[in-house]
Parts: sequence; structure tokens; C-alpha cells
Amino acid sequence: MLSLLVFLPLVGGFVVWWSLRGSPATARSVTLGLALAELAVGLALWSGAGPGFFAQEKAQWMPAVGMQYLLAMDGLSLVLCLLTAVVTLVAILVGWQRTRDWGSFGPLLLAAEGGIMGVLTALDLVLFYVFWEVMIVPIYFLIALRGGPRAAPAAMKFFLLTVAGSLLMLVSLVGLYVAHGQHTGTYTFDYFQLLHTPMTAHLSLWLMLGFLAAFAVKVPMLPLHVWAPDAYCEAEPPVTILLSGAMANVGAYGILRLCLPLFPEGAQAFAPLGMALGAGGVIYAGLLALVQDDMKRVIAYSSISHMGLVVLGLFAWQLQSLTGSVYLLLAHGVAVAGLFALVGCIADRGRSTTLDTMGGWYRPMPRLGVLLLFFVLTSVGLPGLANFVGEFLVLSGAVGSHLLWATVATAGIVVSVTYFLRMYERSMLGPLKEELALPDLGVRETLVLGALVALVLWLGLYPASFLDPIKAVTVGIADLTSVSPGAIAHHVVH
Amino acid sequence: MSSTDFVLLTPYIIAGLGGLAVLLTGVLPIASGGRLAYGLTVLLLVAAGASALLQGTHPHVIQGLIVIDVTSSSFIALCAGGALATVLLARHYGPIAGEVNEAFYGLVLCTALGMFMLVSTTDLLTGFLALELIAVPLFALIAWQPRRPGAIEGGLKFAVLSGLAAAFFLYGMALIYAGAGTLDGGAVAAAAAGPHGFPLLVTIGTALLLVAIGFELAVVPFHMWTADIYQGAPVPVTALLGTVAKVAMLVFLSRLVVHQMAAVWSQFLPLLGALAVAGMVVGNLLALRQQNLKRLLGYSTIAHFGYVMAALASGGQSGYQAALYYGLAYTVMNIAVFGVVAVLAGEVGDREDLESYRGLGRRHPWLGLVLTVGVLSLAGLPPTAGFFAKLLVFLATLQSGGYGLALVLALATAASFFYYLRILVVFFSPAEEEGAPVARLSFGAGLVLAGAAGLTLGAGIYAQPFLLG
Repeated sequence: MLSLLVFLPLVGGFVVWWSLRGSPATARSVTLGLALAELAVGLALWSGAGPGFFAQEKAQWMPAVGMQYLLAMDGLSLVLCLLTAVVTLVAILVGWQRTRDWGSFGPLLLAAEGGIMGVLTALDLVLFYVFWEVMIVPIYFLIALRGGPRAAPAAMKFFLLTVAGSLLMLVSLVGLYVAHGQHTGTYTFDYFQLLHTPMTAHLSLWLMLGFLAAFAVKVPMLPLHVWAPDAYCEAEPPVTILLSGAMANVGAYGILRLCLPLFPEGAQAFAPLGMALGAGGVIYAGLLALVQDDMKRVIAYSSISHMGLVVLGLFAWQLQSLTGSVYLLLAHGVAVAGLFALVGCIADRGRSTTLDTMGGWYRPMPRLGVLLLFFVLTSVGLPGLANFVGEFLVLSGAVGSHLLWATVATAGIVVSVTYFLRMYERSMLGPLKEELALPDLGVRETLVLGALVALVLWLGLYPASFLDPIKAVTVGIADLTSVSPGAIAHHVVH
Repeated sequence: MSSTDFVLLTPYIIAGLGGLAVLLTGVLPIASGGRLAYGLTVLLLVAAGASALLQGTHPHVIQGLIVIDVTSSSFIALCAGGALATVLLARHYGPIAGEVNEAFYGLVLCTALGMFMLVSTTDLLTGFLALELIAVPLFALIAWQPRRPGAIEGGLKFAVLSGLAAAFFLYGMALIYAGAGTLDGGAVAAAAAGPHGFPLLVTIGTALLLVAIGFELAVVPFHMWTADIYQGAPVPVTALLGTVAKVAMLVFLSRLVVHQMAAVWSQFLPLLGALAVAGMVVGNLLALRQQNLKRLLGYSTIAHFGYVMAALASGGQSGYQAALYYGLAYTVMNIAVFGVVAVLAGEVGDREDLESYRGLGRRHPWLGLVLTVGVLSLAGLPPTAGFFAKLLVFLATLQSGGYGLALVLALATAASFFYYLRILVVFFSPAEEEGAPVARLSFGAGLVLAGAAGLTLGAGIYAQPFLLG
């Protein structure tokens, strides 16, 4: 089942490219079908969910160097896999009319989805790394070959930073392997065995930093976020949705799954700085969002700001904040997908998203206006909507860990209200700048966004259905701060 | 020599006598248009490779000169495959069309014999003979159809380089003989430490040997003319001299460094590390802004041998394993890329400027796929052989505590993505004008491309059977 989850999009994407290159319409339908099937696989896994790693697949791969094929899923990977499936589906539907060459677009999108699924389930570290790279290559091509005029440099910046980070992770990964092997005599990349690795605090910190380099780029976390605004804005809306809604999550997932449990000592030493960087990211990106003249850029910076909050929660390293961080990933993924989907709708109407040319658009497009307001309110954390739960948990947890950074981050949320309302006011309210035909949302667009609205309400009003599986995992990780290294593995596995 | 020895020597006999036989087909009074020589060469190379693979894995030493073990049989097969790729690609390669005759094939077989010997010897004198057996035919092959622009220049530069390398090799060998009284790699260290030994001479000789091998492998600072030679040679020949010919040398070096002369080489390991760093930095920097694809691949070679040196600098068994696997990966991925360049070559000359490849990946999706696999593997992305090779290098360096080296390796690799990705982006960007001549993929070239791309992926996804040593 897990292999199906990973390889359905990968193999399916290749088959689509191979056989349907010439017929974009069919390729589009098959891509959608595959994405739906993928969601169905995810839901089937959800129905069989239980405590701990409820699904696991293991096979020999290359025993000579201690590698195996090991996929496993617990509550954390489950919710993120579900989110990825949903976000990919949204991306496909947003690009439905606009994209022409589905023969290459669809396969690349699916390949990226498969890579993300692999990252979220692989627990052999080399396998994890393989999927990590498999995930970024299609995204690079999606940005570089299809975006605006400045897309190629933006994609290159994205790729070089990502790859530099992931190679540092590779060094750390092999370093951990060697450290474990030299200490115990067994050379293995098995996550569960590596959890036992005893090491000096010094080594633990450096190896942790290697992993963090890769994850921080992905998140994006201050100060490695520099690729994100350009990439988010230059890429086409469906690609941006995938980038911000699904791919950013794997960075946070990596910190939670690898950095904290594998290197508890090193991560603890880094935690104060990590919180500072998180809170700094919230306020820094928030202030930048305040002065942007393009709706896309405002949303891009708001996304970076929200991910700062996630980072704050992760390094606050406390049950509530960890749970809140993961929950915020879900909420942010759905909300940002909605926001960028609306940007896509505007782009489909041939209009620019520069705030100066907008204004008064509520009147011709009331449905779009209402939906934009809804997602804006979600993003600023209105109670009852998705983000509120996550933000509340993160902040209430962080206050206990470090009052200053929690306060700074809270100020960042106030800033988010300002920039979002400013964006809404300048685009939707006021007098119409020019009288042009602006057709309101069509059936497809309304349905996609309606589904996202339903998800936001679900996440906001009945959080228990997602909080429970998340909490089952974060409890073990939160305990790591207080227990000796020997007991760590025990906590994470159960 | 026993009869078993003769059986074990089959690949050498096939290549040696076969080369002469192919040359003789030229004097036969039948006009076959080169088809006879072509067919015979293909047959001989397949036979040589297959006979090497079919040999038992039990190590066997013939006359103290030739070692037949898993490593040598595997690399004999690989070298035969590389030579075969050259022959298949050259058959329909535009710029030297009509000039590929029995002499060309004979020279390729001769080079193959040299490579077979080089991968399976630890004796310095045999190594030298093998080296020359590879180099001399290559002078001619690089300058094939001398009217091509750059052909003579490339051939001459290669000749000068190989001449220098040979001189250093000979001098080094002479000093080692003076210091140890033997040329058998396995016995040198012990003899030098013995009562009649002169260790200093052996050390100096080994240093000179390293210089010679450095010239052959394009290790910085002996890399100067690599790109010129790559640019001047016909692409199928570049695929020969840039892949298996170098890898044969690498196998020879690895055997000496890690096994046969380990005691002597151990003092050179830090130097190998320095050479590795220089290769990674210089190669990648030179390639960064390069617009000529053939030159770019030349510079990328320099960087790749920097990575390999990093593995050898660790000196241990894992370094040996990494270097050998790197040799395999390097060969298959480069043949994939050179193969695409050869297939896309026009009638007059290669497409050299990167811009002339614009949009070709969209028009020829299969060529695009092969190039993507090859280039991503060169860059070291999983799940290709190039990735696994780099992983093994990381393992080797970190196991010997080379954290700095590993860090340089990581950053150099990250930088290399800049130029590798540029190739792919140009290849898949929309072309400005349509209707450029469409490449015709011959059966042989298709076979080469499929084989190289398949091995690049296969050896990356399941590397277990390809791990030697």
C-alpha cells in the first residue's frame, strides 16, 4: 500500500509522458485520474490508521552497504501525505484550462507528488535522500521551463540552494552512518537503529546542522528563504501551489522526523537560535509583505511568515507547540493553496496581480471576492478557521519555552492582519480602476475553492480528527527533551 | 604457461589477433564498403567482453604479469563495451562519414587490447606497454579525417601529453627499479625496505609515476589540454578516450594505491587529497561559464577525477570500492551523453555551441530522456549510478575522517549543478525556429544509447552486483 502511494504517481507520470505525449486532453484527464486515485490510496491508509507506525514495508535493497527499502507511516506522515494529495489535486485543477502541454506538465507534477510521498514515508536514510532529490528535479523543470521571463534564474536559485543544502545533508547522513558503524559495528541506514547512536554533543550539533541545512532551505527558514519569493512569483500558479502547499511541508517534516529525534543533544543546543530564527522569520517576512505591490508577493511573504511560526513551534520543542506546528502545516497548506488558486483565477482572466492595477474587483466578481476574504481571514488566524488552531497551539507552547520569541511572533500575527487587509482593500474594494469585463468564477473554479473552504472549516471546527494522529507522534518527540538518549528510540517507535 | 592460462587469456588473444585480422580485411579483393570490417569488429568485441565475463571469479596470476580476478574480468568487459560503443557510434557519425574503414576498427581493437592489459596488471612494465598500446592508436583516432578543424591540433596535443606522461612513467619506473630491484608492484615495498633497497628512490619514482598517471587522468595541475583534445576529437573517439581509456588507468592506479604498493603510496595519500580538491575546484570553475558542450564535458571530466581522487585519498578498501564503482558509473553516464552528441552531429561537424541544442529535447523525446539520465547522473542525482558513486566516495572519505574533503566535495557538486542543469534547460527549451534537420538514429547508436542509459539507471537503483573489491 505504501509502495503504491509512492510509485503510483511516479510510474503513472512516466506512462503518461510515454504514451500520451501527443494528446494533451487525454493526458490531462489521466493525470487527474491518477491524482484522484492517489488521494483514494491516502484515504484508504487513513481508514487503517492506528497508533505508532501502523503501516510498514521492508525489503532487502543493498545489504552490502547497509541499505534497505523501508517505508513506514505513522500519524505524522499520514496527515502530510493526505495534504500533499489534496494540494496536488488542487494544482491540477487550477491549471486545468490555462496549461496547454499536459503531456509534460502532468507527468512532472505527478513525479513531484510521488517524490514528496516518498520523502514522507521513507525511513531508510538513503532512500529518504533519493526521494528528496527525485522531488526537486521535476519542480525545477516546472519552474524553469514554464514560468515567466525571469523564471529560469529564479529556478536556478531555488535549485542551487536546495541542492547545496541537501548535499550537506548527505554528508551528515553518511557521517551519522559512519559514527553509528564505528560505535556499534553495524553499518546501516535504518532510521530506527540510528536512533540509538550515541555521540558527543559536538558531533551531534554538527550533524544536526547538516540535516537542518537541507530542511531550512525547503521550509523556507530565515536566512535561507531567499529563493522563495522569486520562485513563488515566477512559477505558474499550479506550481506555486505545489511548492508552497506541499513541498514546504517536507522541510518541517524533516526537522521533526530527523533533526530532533536523531540528534536530541545537538538540536537542544540549537533550539534557542532556532526559535529566534523562526520568530525573526515571522516578523521579517511579515514586514516585507507589508510593502509589496503584487498580490502574489504578498501571499508569498505571508507563506514564509507562517512557516516561520512553524519553525518557532518546532524548536520550542514542547508537546503543544510541536502539535501546533504540524497542524499549522495542514492549515497553511490548504489556505495558501486557496490563495494561490485565486491568484491563478485572476491570471486566467488575463489580468495582472499588481495591486496598482486592481481595485474595486468585488463588484464584478463577488464570488471571487468572498472567497478571497475567506482565505485571507483563515490566514490571519480567525477563530473557527483552520489556522487559528495551529497558531494558538504554537504560541501557547512557545510562551512556556521562550517568552521573548513568542511575543515577537505574536506581533508578527498582528502584522499579518495589516498586510492582508491592505491587500484586500487595494484589490477588491474602492472604485473600479477601469471598466473591463471580469467574469466571476466559473463552476470548476467555484467547486475547487468550495472544497478547500470545506476543508478549512473542517480543520477549524473539528480539529480532533487530525490532532489525534499528530499528537500520537509529537508526544514521543516532545519527551525527548527530558529523557536520556538510550530511551529515545523507545519513545519514538511507540 | 598452462592451458588454463591460455583460456584465461582469451579476451587478449581475441583483441590482439582480431585487430590484425580486421586490418587484413582491407586487402581482401571484395568491396564490402567497410561492412565486413565493421561486422567483424563488433563480433570480436562482443566475444572478448563475453569471454571475460564468463571466466571464473577465482583469482589467478599469469606469469606474474597479468592478474585475472573479478575486477579485471568486469573491467575488461566494460572496456570492450566502451570500444564497442565507439565502433557503433562512429559507423553513422557525420563528420567522419566515409572515412571509417578497417584501419579505424583495427586501431580501436588495438586500444582495447591495451585497456584489457592495463586493468589486469600490477606489473609496472606491463602497465607501461599497455599505456602505449592505448595512446599510440589514439593519436591517429583523434586526428581522424585530418581536414576537420582542430583535428590535427587535438591529435598533436594528445601526442605531446602522452609523450610527457610516458617519459615520466619511464623515469619513475627506472627509479623504482633502481631502488627496489623489481617492477612487480606487489613486491616493491618489501624489496625497498630490504637490505639492498633504497626507499628514497622508490618514493621519488612513485611521485613521478603519479605525475604520469595524473597526465593520463586529467588530474589538476596536469589537465591543461583536456578540453582541447575533447573538442578536436570526433565524438565517438572522445567517448573512447574520455571514458574507458581513463577508467582503465584508474583501475591500474587504484590497484597500486590500495593494494599492491599500499605501503609506498600511503605517504602520498594527503597529496592525493590535495589533488582531489584542486580537481574539484578547478574543473567546476572552468566548466561554469563554458558555452561549448564538448569543452564543458572535458572540464567536467577534470572535476569527476577530482571526486575519484577524494575516494582514493582515503586509501582503504572502501576507497578502492568507491573508485572502481565510480569508474563504471563515469563510463556509462559519459557514453550516454557523448552518444547523444554523436547522434545529433551534423554532416559537417558536431554541434558544439550549447545554443545549437536548443529545443532538440522536445523534438527527440527519446534522445532527451537519454541525455537527461546521463546529465543528471553526471550531476550526481539519484537514482542514477552517478549518485551512488558519489555516495560511496562520501562513505570512503568520511570513514577515514576526511570531513573537510567531504565538505568540499559536497559544495563542488552543488556548484556543478549550475552547468549541468543549463545543458538540460537549453535542450528542453522551446526552439526559436522550427524545421532544423532531424537526427536519424541508427540501430547501433540506439543500442548504445539504450544500453548506456539503462546501465546508468540500473547500476544506480541496484548497485549491489556492481560493487567490486
